[in-house]
Amino acid sequence: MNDLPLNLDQETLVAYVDKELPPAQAAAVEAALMQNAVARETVRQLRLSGAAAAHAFDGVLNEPVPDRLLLAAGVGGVPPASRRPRWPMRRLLPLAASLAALAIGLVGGYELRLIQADQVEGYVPAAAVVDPLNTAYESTLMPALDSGAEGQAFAYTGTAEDHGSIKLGRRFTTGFGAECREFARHETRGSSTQENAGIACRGADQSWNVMLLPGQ
Amino acid sequence: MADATFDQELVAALPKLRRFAFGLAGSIDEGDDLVQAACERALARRDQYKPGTRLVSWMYRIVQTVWIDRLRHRRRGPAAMDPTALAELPGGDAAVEMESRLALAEVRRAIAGLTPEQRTVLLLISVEGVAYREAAEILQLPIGTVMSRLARARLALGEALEQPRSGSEPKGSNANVIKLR
Repeated sequence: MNDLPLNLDQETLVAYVDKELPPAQAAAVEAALMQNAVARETVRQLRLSGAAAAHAFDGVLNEPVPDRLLLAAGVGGVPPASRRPRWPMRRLLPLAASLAALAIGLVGGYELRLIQADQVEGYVPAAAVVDPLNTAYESTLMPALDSGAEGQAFAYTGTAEDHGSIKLGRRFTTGFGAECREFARHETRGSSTQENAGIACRGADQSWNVMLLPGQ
Repeated sequence: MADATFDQELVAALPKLRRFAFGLAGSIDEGDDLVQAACERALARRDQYKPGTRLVSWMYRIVQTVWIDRLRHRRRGPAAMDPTALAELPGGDAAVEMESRLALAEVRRAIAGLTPEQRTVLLLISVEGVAYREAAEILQLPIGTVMSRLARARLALGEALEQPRSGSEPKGSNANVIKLR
């Protein structure tokens, strides 16, 4: 087999290094390399650069995929288990993706698989509780979302002991053009106080779809 | 492929597509722009995807096409790319030692110095681990062309990595100290 006519050109050598040659040809190259110092040096350099390149961009693999890409891929963001939100606004993002997908689904009229609200652990539907405080909250939130500035706070009250405030966060547009806003809610009911982060995205009819996240 | 599978595979491919696009564009942000545009294009043309083929390969092609389109649109060649951008590192990973960060940044900078054609082949094969035959199909090139571009890219990279670092480094007796092994 060693008497195969061999051309130790760069293409053959890189294929040898990358194990892309058929076994017989690889063995022939190996044998020929014993006699050829120049080719051995080429192989050394091809190995070095291959090994160096292999992991040069791996850092990005350890980062969470941005929600704008999940949205662009047409799917509501599913938060990987490794995500550890550090503050309320942060934890909004994966749900922002699914909520925005809802808004887009209404706009585009094409079918999108969404995360069902009840599949999200600890999900609190915004309108599930009907009471005076909640009514006040909703009637304060909608105009605030429409025209409030970033960082602006809005107070609301239910009964004498129950009151709350909404602080608006940033505005953003999803990859598909849905308009969304973040907000934080601080609410006191009697002696208990709760903080929630929320997200709202406009649907096709310009109304806000609101999702409130579990409190801390 | 059923739509659900298509969507799942597309999402599953995102990390690899980001890595590929990071290498092409030179920064994570610009890479993400490419991936976003590629996903939007893919969804608009999902009927063109051939079931039974690897979705990630189809996506590599779209990412590469979007990138080439943008390069042409900007009418700028590879020299327009800022090689220092390739030093960008995903922040906050304390586990990564500074030394290896510097070494990886150096490799990225050297890869940024390759021609777009060489860089694409190198990223697909040596970073993404795509087989030669598949890379040829993705890029719609003869396999011989892929191999010669790859060989030239790898030799140029090997040479660059063994050169003393240039540019901001002070020229002096210690210039040779900074060498990648």
